[in-house]
Amino acid sequence: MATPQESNAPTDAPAAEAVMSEERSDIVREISLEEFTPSGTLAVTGAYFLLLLVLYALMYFVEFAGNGPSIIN
Amino acid sequence: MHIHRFEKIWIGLSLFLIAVCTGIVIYGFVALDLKVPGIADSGTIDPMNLAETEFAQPGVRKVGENEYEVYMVARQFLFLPGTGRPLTLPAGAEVTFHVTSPDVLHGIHVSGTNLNTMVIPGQVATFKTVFPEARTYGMICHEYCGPAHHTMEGLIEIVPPSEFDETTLLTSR
Ligand SMILES: [Cu+2]
Repeated sequence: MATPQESNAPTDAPAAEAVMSEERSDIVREISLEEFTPSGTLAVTGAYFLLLLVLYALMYFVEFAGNGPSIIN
Repeated sequence: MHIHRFEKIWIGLSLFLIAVCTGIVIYGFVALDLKVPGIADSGTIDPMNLAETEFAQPGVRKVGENEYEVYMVARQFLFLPGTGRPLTLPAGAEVTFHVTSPDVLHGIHVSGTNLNTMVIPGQVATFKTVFPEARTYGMICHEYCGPAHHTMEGLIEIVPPSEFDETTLLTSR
């Protein structure tokens, strides 16, 4: 078992570098950041965002503003 | 710093959401006339000595053609007026509530409406409203104020203006 001091960053650095190097055999294709297009994530986030807008409008305009009489001054 | 275009999209959407929420609240305040309760401009009053304030005689006063003021005392464990005998008001009139407490913190919520404020000893909670239709509303205390807090309730009876009995109004200040 390594003590915390022994597993510090300097000793780990070469290992971390190796992970990103070409020596890794399980990398099929490397793409740049811009080529990475998580469209599914964008679609789910977008749908959730639309739901949020609709529910907020319902809550404010129907459940709150429609719940008169209200304080007018 | 390089930011991925998808991240730019959802950073933009988050900022848009903040703008929408802020915009709706401002729209409600200005266009829908949805205000919040305030405290009286006259500052604080002495809760131990309500007899020397306009709360000495709680009740309804007529202050204009179709305008009324309600002076209400919330105390352990009743609303005066409201508990025992309902607070009666005409439909369609502008009503300004002034509520204070001589003892501990209370709250008033007119059930099924947006009328809701805390009642703090020494301060006068003030709000204006219009009850458009003739019907009865219940009101409850929503701040724990003692062992019988759960029994602290009252009624507001809104009657058609023609049936409103002006003899119940208070005259003096
Ligand atoms: Cu109470």
